Amino acid sequence: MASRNQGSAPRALVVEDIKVDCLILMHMLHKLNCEATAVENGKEAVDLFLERKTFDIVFSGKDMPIMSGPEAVAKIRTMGATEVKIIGVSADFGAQEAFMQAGADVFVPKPVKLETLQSMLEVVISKKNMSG
Amino acid sequence: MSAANQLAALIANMFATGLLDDQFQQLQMLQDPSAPNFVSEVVTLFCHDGERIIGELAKLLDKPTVDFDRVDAFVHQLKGSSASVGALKVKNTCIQFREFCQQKSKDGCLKTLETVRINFYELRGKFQTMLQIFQVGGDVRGGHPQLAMGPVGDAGASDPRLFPQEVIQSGGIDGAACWDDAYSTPLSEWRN
Repeated sequence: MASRNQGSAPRALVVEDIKVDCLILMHMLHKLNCEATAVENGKEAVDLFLERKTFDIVFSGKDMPIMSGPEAVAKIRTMGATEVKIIGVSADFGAQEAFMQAGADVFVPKPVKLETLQSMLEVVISKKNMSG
Repeated sequence: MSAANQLAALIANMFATGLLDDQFQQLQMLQDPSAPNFVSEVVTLFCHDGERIIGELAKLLDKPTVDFDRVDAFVHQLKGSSASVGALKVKNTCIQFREFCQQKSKDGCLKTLETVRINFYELRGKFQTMLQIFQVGGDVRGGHPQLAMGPVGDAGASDPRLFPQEVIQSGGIDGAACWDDAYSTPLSEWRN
């Protein structure tokens, strides 16, 4: 299980319009001691970055109303948010390519496993430790 | 039969009949004392959302000109949430449904919607029974050491010992009850 880094919990953003999926992912992130925020579509995610909110890791669904996951990822990267780890999450074939082309770091198929989340967060925490 | 055994029998039946897959066990593994109502929250949300989506699909397919993109978007949502809770039959029907959306086949969509509706309500009935067991379960510890986690909650309150992993992993019970909807109540009468 991811451990707290001197009280600095990883800040995660969940971008997901399917309520059940969002509930499960948020629960997993809380279990892994993350500070997790959820939004319902890509535009809301982009708006948070425009408000200069910072996150260590973003989990984004693909097909969402108003703005899709890959579109949001591309915009977030264009805004200069290159350090945040972005994970594309989808059950659809072809989603991986869309996410990676948009600038995501990793793609994981749905449903996401707790162990998968844990290993990703460990990378994020280790990076936070190194940067001080 | 104790509540824990009833629950085990019900869930074993749901796995055996293809209603649920391993993903449901993943959900159960996520429940812990800090989130004692997690599985029932997910199940309740799935049922409410699923019913809403099926209603929207029926409206869209009732129109003289069908917006297949919108239909597909709703089916995508139902497929996603089904996969996340382990609702295998519903998920598989949604996969077929999306193919008919891609083909822009109204007849195919209507037929598949009916199958989705049947599979969803079958599952919902079982989930209702599951939640009812919690409400009338009494002391589910029943000599099961792993379930001895504290005093029994108020009658009707969610019990943190519900969906204990040991019960779920027991893989069924000899002479498991054949669950039907005899004890089901309409969704509107659900607690929460």
